Amino acid sequence: MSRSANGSSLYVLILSVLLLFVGVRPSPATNFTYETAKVDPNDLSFYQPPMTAEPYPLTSATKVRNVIFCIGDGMGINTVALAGTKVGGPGGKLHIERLPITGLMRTYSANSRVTDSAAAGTALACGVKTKNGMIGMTPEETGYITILEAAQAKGMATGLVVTCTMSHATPASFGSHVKSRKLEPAIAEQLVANRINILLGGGRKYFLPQSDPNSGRKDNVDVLAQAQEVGYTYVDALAGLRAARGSHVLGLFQFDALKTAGPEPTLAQMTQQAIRLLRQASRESNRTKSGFFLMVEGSQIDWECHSNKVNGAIRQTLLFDQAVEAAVDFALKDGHTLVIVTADHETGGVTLIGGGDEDKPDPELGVRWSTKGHSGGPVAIWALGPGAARFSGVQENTDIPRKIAQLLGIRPFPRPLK
Amino acid sequence: MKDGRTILRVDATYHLLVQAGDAVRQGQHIQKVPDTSVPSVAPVSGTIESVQFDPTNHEFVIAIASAC
Repeated sequence: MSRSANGSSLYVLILSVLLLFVGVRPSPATNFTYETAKVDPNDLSFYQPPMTAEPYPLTSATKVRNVIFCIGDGMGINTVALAGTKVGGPGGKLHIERLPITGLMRTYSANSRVTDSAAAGTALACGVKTKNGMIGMTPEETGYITILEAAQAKGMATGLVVTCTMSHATPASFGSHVKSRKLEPAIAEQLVANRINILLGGGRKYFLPQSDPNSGRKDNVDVLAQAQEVGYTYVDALAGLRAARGSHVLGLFQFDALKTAGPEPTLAQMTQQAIRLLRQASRESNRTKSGFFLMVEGSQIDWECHSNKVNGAIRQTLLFDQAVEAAVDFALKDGHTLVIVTADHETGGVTLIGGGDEDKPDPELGVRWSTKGHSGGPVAIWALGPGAARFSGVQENTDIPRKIAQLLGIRPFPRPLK
Repeated sequence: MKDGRTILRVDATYHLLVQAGDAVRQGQHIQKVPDTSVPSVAPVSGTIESVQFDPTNHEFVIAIASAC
């Protein structure tokens, strides 16, 4: 039943007063929905599964020049298995699963058995545990250098590629230090101030001053203008990204998170372009062949799992797998690139109970969700390239950047910010 | 409150104890929060109308239709 404009306004006013009375923050439903891809979630024609289930080759090389760190947000082992089953039957494998070294990683945070992406990202970036919600610092608010910052200090080119806002928890953990993941405007400023070479993703709204109607800021800081003043090339479409040159490129393809559908670039395309640009930046730096560090996140696997959407989770996992394939393609040709693939935590408590569950939307796959939140179990880690064997076995999430630092000759690590 | 709806936001990290269609009482725990975090409780009595995920804030947005 429709309401008149006046009636609707009165309704909202009364509701707002009542909500304030009970002490709950009113939140119009239209303020939080994100635009999912306008595609058929069952259409997986964009994805090319591996031609073989054989593992990628091990390498005898020992020198690590480049690191590509791929993180599937919320991507549990069963989520990967689910996606592999969807595209290849019960024995189907993703590109991720062809990486030759496999291990397990524990994910708990400093204050909870169930981590969030901020604490998990901080562990994966800084090598220290922190409280859920905190970015790049310990529970006592001591900032710790991230593996990206340490690589940069060593002379390596650096990059972040995501499908969420550029200032969301995981990328923020690699390039900023704040008390709360909610401080996205401040995180955007820090990412640019840190002169990370390549920043590709969504979240343009946090780079625009509040005078812009699409801004997500509450101040007049124009981070986009600041970035361009210090030398960033700014792009907002795939064509511009492909044509981009220079040591610093900022690509923001949506005001909010990416929609993960055309015409914006896919995560795999962003990964390919980031590698191209980082190689150029690496060559043009003062130190020849200084290498690069790139973090790639499949950000929206987590989001689909929070909504317990089977087909959405599969689609986002396959989009992430495409990006991993792009990273592996480069690494195999290069011979001195370490590729690490893992998750920050599991989301949804995915259980594969087999077929025959006619009450579920996808009876063929037989998926059960045990929660809409995160779960606290370990996640898988895969690795390829020089040094990959160090990531086998069962390890803490804080071990990952420590091992990367060892392989890159960065020491001491972890260490507080100066 | 007649025909009213209360919107509650809680951290999406943790497991919800309620789902759409459930009846809740004021003060009832609606989320299982492990370890040291503060539990979330229903601010009013009523029926859970919907639970949606807000990725920007990484929160569940829970709509409760208040009991008369």
